[in-house]
Amino acid sequence: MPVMTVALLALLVLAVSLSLFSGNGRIGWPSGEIDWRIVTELRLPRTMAALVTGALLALAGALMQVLLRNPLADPYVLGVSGGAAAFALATMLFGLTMIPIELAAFAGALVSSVIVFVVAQGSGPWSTTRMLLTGVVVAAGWGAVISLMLALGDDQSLRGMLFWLMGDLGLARAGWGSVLVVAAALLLLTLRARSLNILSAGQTQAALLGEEPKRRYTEIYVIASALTALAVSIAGTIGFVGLIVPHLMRLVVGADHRRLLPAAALFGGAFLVLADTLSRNLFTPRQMPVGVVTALIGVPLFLLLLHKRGAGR
Amino acid sequence: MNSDKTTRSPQQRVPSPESRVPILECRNVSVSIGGQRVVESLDLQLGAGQSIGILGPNGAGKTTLLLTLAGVRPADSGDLELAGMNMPRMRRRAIAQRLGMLTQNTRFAFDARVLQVALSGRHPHIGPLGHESRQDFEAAQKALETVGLAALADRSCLELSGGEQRRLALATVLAQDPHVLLLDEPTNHLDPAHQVAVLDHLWRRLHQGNRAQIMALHDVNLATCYCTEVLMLGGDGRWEYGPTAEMLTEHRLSRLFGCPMRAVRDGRQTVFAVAGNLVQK
Repeated sequence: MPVMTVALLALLVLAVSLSLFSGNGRIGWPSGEIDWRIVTELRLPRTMAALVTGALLALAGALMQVLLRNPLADPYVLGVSGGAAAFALATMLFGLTMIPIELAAFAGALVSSVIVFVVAQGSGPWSTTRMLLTGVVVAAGWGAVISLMLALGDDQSLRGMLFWLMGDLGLARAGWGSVLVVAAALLLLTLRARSLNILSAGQTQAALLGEEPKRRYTEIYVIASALTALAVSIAGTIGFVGLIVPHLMRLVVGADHRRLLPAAALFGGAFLVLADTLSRNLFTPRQMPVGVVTALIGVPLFLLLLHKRGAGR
Repeated sequence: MNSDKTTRSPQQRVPSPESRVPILECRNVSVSIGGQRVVESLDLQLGAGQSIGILGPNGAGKTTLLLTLAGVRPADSGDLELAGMNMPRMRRRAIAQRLGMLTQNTRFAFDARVLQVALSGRHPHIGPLGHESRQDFEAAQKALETVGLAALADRSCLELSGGEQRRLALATVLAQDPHVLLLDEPTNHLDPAHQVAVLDHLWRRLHQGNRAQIMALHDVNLATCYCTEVLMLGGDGRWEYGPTAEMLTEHRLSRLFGCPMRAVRDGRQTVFAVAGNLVQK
């Protein structure tokens, strides 16, 4: 297994170097003061944001897959991103400039999570099906609200609004606080990862093997929602990272969460840094939203995995 | 049936010294499914060495009762005690260290190795932050050998056949090695050789210290061989309990299943068969 860790770390270093030393379609060592300032003041914060967001989404995706007992679940499946986008758009539309838009997005994600949790669970036993149904319907509701606001918004703010829907790292900044959150979440989750293995076997089996399912599932839900909310507030709704990365890592390191979570966090970060590098360099001087790149890589990869899975049996 | 005191006397068995203290005890426990009472005021004491078989028609509440006894489904009323402690007040981890259950359906959502699944049975015995020790690995390995899956230890659990998945679930609960083992149709999906091997092993296990089991069975003839007592569930709340030899009669079984059952004796064993209406005179 150390081989795998070394490989993932090497990939991460490669991705970060590539991201720092490439721009406008060229790769090169910076020469002169201006070049170095571009690297440290523009590319480094952006790379860090990509790294943190990728790790957040990969961890949240792995947790959501345990929670819903489905290897094909992603962090947005319960409507978290819809809530974030709707709140962010609303602050733009109504010109609420005193509220930082990241904060609005974070609040929207949390409000959505709370709605889904309260409606789906009530005081009854934990039900995956009801949770999924509630989440999908709430997501559809946010979709309608977002469409309404896009229709009402003027053309000038439309581009800014698209940011929250597609996901973009162009202006994204991740502070040291969010780095700390990723590190703390990874440490905490990895320490308790044996319980995650048991919980992924379903609530009856988990209870029979000594876990308190309702309490544990609630904890997982809260942590996954908070990680997703943070990711969305940094970079908008970047699709497929949270779905593909844990899934792919499960094929590589296995289903044991003690290995899966660190691997997913490392690979998720590296993957998003690479995708962002591509989005900056592929069609210079134009830049694509990184969500387009992750979807363009993610969709075929996902279909391929699904096809192979089906053919294996 | 409920008031039939004669069938409930525990003196019929030869009690071993340890069996006087019940490991699992339920008093006055009632269970419902969707508002319909299926078990009314059940009193049951499970002591070391006992193997209680639960028989009853489809939907009589066998699975529901087992889940209630395991503490994962609340009873309508009554008291449950595990090793002298009030079970609803116990933490799941403390329960799982003493009581294990093989559920009816095993569905694996994620791709894990067979050994890893069996190892999950050790979970309640390892500290929250601890790692599996070599003893845990050995217990899991031994459990796999017992159910005949040792050769498949490195396979993916998703690639197993129905019968193999069933045996893997059994290996998991054997690795857990609880004092009280609840088994919901342990022979489901198993071929005859594996049925006998599994039940033989469970029988030998009963006599390794403080062990007892309750199993829901479909096959009356397995109950004649592998159960010390039988609990019959009528499905309408009524129940009967007593030593196997007393409980398994043509008359009682025919009444329980609502169809004629015949006992055929060959001198070594009594076999029950569905007589069918055509055979009846």
